[in-house]
Amino acid sequence: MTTEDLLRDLAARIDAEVPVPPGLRARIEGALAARPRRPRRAWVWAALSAAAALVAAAGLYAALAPEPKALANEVRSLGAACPDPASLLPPDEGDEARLRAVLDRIVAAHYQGSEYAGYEVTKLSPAPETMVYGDMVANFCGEAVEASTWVLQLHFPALEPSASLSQGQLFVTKTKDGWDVWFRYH
Amino acid sequence: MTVEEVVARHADRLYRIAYLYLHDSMGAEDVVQEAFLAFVRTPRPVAEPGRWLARVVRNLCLNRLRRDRREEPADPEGWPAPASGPPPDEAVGRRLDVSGALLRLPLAYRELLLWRYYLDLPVAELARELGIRPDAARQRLARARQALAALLTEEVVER
Repeated sequence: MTTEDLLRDLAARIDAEVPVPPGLRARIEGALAARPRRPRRAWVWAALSAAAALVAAAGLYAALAPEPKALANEVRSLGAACPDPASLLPPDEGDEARLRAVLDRIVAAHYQGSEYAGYEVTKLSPAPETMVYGDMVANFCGEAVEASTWVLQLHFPALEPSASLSQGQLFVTKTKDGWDVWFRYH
Repeated sequence: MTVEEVVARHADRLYRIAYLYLHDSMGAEDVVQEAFLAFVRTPRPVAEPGRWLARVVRNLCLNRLRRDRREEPADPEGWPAPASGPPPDEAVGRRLDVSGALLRLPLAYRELLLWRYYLDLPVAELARELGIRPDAARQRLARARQALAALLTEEVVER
């Protein structure tokens, strides 16, 4: 038997040689069944959204929002490390409000200097909804990370007319430990 | 297709892929479970669940290997024994432990062979999945085949 024969037969050989733990499917199905499920009724979401808006208006939302643990860390370069998909929390409807509540702290931590004062948020979007950045995240870190990443696009008026310097982008994910700013693109 | 059907169709193959990345059966189970959780969490419809899940499994495995700062198997005890030993008079090819040989290859070669021959991807798609140029993928694949052949030949001689 030649190597080519073996390669043609590789899938069957791997299937035969690598035994799958007997409880694997049951474990997966158990984990899927145990995951937090979102309420399906629209009125529940409407009520929750209204409550969230009230809390935000009272200034309490920021205090309740996850602490951006990674703010103390230096921004990692894209090649250094993607967020661990195992640490990501699934996106939910309250993310944008919670993230907006801590934007000042996030921007201040990653853009230090008077030239960044007076920043404007050009766009805050889930990565999958941004064509270029979403694909970038998916290519580098996979779709699980893309699904949990928010792209914060900023404008710094003090740095005009330079188009490159006057724009900033941060990639932020929601993790079990809080907001993780894992990449500064510009 | 329901999630249960996706699990039934893809779980075993994804486990084997994860195992051949990590050489760690518990780690492979964790990764496959996490990939399915990512599958049900993703807000977008997934056109090709098998391919999507394989990509997530790869990313999770690479992240684990980076996190643990290892690229090569560090858990030889994790290698499960074959379910049953082959008959002693089988043809040489059937006596070869192909998965064991794969695990001895550098990760870059191993994953090329996995994606090409286990997941049955054409070279162009394989290159896109792994983020390399198609000509580089072809060259590296040729070297991976040579390396695997050398290991298998060595194994035959040892036996």
